[in-house]
Amino acid sequence: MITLKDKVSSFFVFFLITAAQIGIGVLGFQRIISEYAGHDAWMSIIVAALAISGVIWLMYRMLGHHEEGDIIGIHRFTFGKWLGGLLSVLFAAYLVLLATVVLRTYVEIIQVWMFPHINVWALLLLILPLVYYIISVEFRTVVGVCFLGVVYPSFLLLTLFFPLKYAEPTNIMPVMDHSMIEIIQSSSLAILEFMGVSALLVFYPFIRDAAKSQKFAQLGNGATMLVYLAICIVSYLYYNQQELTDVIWATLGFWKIIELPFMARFEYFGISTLFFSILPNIALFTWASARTLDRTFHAGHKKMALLVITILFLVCVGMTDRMGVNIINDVAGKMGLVVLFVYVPLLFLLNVVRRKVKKNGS
Amino acid sequence: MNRNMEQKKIKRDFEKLITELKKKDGFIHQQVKHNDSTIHVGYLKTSVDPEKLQKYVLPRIQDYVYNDLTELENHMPIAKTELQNDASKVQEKLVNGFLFIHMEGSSPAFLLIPIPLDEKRQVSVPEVEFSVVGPKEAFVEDIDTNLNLVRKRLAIPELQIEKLQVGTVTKTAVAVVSIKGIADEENVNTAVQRINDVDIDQVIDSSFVQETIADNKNSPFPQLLDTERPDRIASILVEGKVAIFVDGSPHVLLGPTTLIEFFSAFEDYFLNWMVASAFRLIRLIAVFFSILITPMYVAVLTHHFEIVPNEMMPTLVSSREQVPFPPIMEAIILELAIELLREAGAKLPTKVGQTIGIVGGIVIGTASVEAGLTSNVLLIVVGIAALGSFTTPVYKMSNTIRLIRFPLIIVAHVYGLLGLTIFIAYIMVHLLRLTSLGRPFMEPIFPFRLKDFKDALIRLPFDKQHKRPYAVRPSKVTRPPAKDEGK
Repeated sequence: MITLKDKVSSFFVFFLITAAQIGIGVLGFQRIISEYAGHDAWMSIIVAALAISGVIWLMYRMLGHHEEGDIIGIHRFTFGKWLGGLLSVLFAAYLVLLATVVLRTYVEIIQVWMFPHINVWALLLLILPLVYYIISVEFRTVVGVCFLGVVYPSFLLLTLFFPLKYAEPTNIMPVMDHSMIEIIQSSSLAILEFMGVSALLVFYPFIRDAAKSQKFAQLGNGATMLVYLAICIVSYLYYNQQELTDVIWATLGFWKIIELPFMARFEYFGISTLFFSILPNIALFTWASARTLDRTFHAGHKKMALLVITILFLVCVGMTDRMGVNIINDVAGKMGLVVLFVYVPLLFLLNVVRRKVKKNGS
Repeated sequence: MNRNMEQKKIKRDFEKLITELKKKDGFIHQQVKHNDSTIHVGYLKTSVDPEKLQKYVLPRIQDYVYNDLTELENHMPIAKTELQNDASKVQEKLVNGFLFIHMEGSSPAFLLIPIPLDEKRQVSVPEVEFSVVGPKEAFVEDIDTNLNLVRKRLAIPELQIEKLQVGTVTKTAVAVVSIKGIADEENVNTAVQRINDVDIDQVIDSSFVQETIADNKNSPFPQLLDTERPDRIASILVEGKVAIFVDGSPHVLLGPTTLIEFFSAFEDYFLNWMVASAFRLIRLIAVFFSILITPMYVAVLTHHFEIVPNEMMPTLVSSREQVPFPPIMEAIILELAIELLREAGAKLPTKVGQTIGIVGGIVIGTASVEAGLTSNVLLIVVGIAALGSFTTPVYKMSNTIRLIRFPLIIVAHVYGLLGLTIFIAYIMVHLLRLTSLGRPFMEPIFPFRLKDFKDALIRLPFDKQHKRPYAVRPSKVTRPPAKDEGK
């Protein structure tokens, strides 16, 4: 069904994973993760990344055993047609939720920072056809968007040098001032920034030499960690913990102090450029969701893509205030924890048992 | 008896043919007595070469001794003559520049001699892709001359030429050229297949083929490169690409191509690699500038004037003080004015065209600023944008660049920098989805191939380019080893 022409070289897994993970989170995760571990929260990022790396390993172990090699196949094999199908639909819903979080938060930032009176539906009508254009035909296009979505906005990392002028090393001293428990509690909040990795469960069969691509996936996860770590440490050096509780989007705060000879107020440019970073998120999640639905119901990828995008549109338009955005962020974070650290290991175990049973049976 | 019947039929047919042909303009019919029989010579005045007629054909009919047309054919110093008994075939041949000789009582009855009049332009200097250094030959309209220009540079037996015919009415000759053993057969087959599938009645120029065999017809971007330089065609054939020649067109198509290739002038290969790379980069930056600078001006002045640094603000404010229009109106008026100038300049003869440039550029520009209709900052911006779009070496691509500026200006007005970014993302995704003869158009950027960057944004020295570009999937990836390596 998936021909060699549809597959992408395993090297692109690096970009797929990184693009799926880095998104809207970079703008304001510093305040959220510092809730328990305070100025030591940067260590939680490392802990979170290591945990995710374990999850990736688990996913590869599980996916490699199946010919079709995606979560729909595994569901069907493990739970049978009906229960498996239901779980696949729930997984698709989870992916749509991830896409919604990214898109709605981005729209929220645009409302606060650029256009306070913008019509949400009008903006969505500009963005969503683009998403459909990306996901409707080939997976190759999604990969291309992910690739450019990592490469092009990466120059924004250079802006981290500007706040270093005002860095205050005492802000992160003393190191290890918090207990291990607190750091782990914080890392459970940091997982939200790494959740994109769930898309791997769907796009795995589109990778050439998929079984050997794990090193690229791990590298991608590592790259994500480095980016978050750099942003986090610079933020904690620049803001003290008191200030940090007051700023919602700490990274945008950096951009406010940047002055270039040809450009003041870098944040307008930065937020616009960030669109290239959130687009792969939305595209990958909606694509994965549409593919999951299509594999479950066999109704045609284009129709499912249209359905997913319509749902995305309705949910985003329906959510009108800041509270709603906060709530879906929290819900998505908790769901992500459950999916990655409870459901995936459980599925792995059940899958192993099912395989054993089937082997003995035959 | 049988022979007599046949002769009578031929005589009847011939008389019918003559009456038919006499209705045609420029038909000439001559009769000569030879031995005991009568020789008829007929041709269309406008389609035969009078020199060949006088020099080779007529003297031989009168001076030589022969009993039938088969003997006469042996005397003719012209190749591809035909003997024909069927009168109905003759008329069709006449249009293609043949001359017929009919001898009463002879069998076969007709001798057809090809002496077509070839109106050819001399091979001249390339005008669109002119380069100061390097070869100075350009393709002409005649397909055989064009093929010859390439063959001269690639005198190897592996050069394969597949001749096809397209256009239900025009029946234009098309040749698909590639090098066996280097080019990927799949690319050649795709090209041949698509040309065979062309179902239009007229193919007057290679642009007709370019449009009908494009991978995505609803794209503003050309997906096959066209060039008028035989040296460029020879060079891309060696890289493993495919060239498509169309009779009657001085532009030869080549594919599979990539977006970057449209911005590489062939002159780059005649200059030192550092100089060439620098200029190629400048050209690419110029193109980005040309597309983005006017929309940026509109976006910043409409929505985000805070972006303008404090030192620059007074300059901008004073230049816009008098202007009664919003930035979008101002920008569109000026851009349209530039487009008008360009169209007017392109349609007028060269000498008058220069005057237009002066009138348009200096008089209208200065006057509109003085009258306070546009700001002089925008005048500079639009001027730079126009200059930038002229640096594109391929004319068709520079037209595309002119066009996509306008929707960008409009989204910039509506959503500022955000709108610009979203629209650029649209273009980017469109380019990601485009293919050229089935190969990705954005290569080597995506699919990312570091090796192919040796001749993309920059051009490395020739001896550093050991491998042919992978984008075209050449059959032999490595270029032949150096001479001393075989020892």
